[in-house]
Amino acid sequence: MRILAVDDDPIIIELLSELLTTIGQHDVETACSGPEALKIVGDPDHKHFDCILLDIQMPGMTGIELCGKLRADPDYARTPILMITAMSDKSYIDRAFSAGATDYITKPFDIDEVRFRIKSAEARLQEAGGMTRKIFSVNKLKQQQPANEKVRLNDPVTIFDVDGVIDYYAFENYITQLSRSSMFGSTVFGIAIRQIEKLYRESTAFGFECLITDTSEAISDCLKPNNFLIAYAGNGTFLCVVEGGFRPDLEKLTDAINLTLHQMDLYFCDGRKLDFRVCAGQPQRLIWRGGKSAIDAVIQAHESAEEEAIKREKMLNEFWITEQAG
Amino acid sequence: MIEAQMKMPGLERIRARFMDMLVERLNEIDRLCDPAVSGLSPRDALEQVQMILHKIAGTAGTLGLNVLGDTARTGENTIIAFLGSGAPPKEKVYRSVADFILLAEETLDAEKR
Repeated sequence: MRILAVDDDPIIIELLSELLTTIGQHDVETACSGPEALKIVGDPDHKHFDCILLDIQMPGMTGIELCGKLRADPDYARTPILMITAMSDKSYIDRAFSAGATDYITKPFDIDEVRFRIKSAEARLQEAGGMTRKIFSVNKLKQQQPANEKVRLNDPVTIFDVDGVIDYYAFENYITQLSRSSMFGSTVFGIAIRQIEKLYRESTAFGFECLITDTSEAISDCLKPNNFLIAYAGNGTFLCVVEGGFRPDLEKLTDAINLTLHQMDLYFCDGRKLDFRVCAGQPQRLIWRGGKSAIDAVIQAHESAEEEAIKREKMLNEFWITEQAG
Repeated sequence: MIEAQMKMPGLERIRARFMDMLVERLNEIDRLCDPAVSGLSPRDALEQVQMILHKIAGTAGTLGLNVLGDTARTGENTIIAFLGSGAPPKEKVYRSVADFILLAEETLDAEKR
């Protein structure tokens, strides 16, 4: 891979160059500041980078700011960005993911850890071109650029420009990498769009993109001002992790999201009113769960939300059948 | 893990560079801790000392200098706590920086032998 490593510490730069060429014979370029990195990626004489490593704490422009600027460049919208962090404060890591980071490596480096993280990024790059196959962007929608290709219903999609919404694979990395103690007080739950298959069938590519991004905005708005991260996992289901001991009342949250969606006054592309609702699954506490156990909790949250969506529709059908029979 | 890392080609060269920079960084910490020399307020000086310790803490472990890295991290965290809330007392902050300086000097001496 062609890798750009950005750090203001010359020792880190040397270490990374040595490590990366040793573990995978990668082609490594370096920059010692955010502005220098932006100059390099913007230089037409430089070939595109497949992966970017960013230190978080740099003077002038932090790695988090640089990550946001790189994500705004269409050429780097899907490129794996790994944050290099010695920051013990979890809020830095949260902000890095919110700015578009896909993973992180902690300092001081463990060679096996760096090898594993770089290989994961490389695998994702080969499998899906970096992040999820498709990216939805609110800013793009505002420019009314119709989407050409409709994503598959089950595909996770990266949504940009919505507060707290991150790439699905980054979400998995975030959950698995955080230490068990950092997870203390965190809860994960799923929010599923009801009748998603019907809505998908009736939507154009652009319409489906709007449906997903609008729902993500509604969820994001309703979770503020708490600390949270959201990812779209495909099939109309969003996964949310909330922190700081915040235990959401999911019934009230669901009502608030549905009210927000209703107030958005949404329409299909053919002018029909788009009226849909979401529901929440069972929340899963992440107390002292790390690695695979934390991912199991995410899977349970995902399944529970989808089961709830099916159950609600079934109950509604049974209600109408009873009404008609009566 | 450290043994495996130390077998990495080029690591000895980087460690030597780290030691050279450690001398420069210790001199800089000395300068910053003396307001008459640095001309900075204690707060500004501590912010810069914290940045130096942060860098050392981030690399020393990878170069097989775990204790030095941990001591730098302790110093960094003590300064962060002091700058954030005024606690612990300033004496404890400078004690923590002094602990790091003493250990760094011992490390440099051991490296020369």
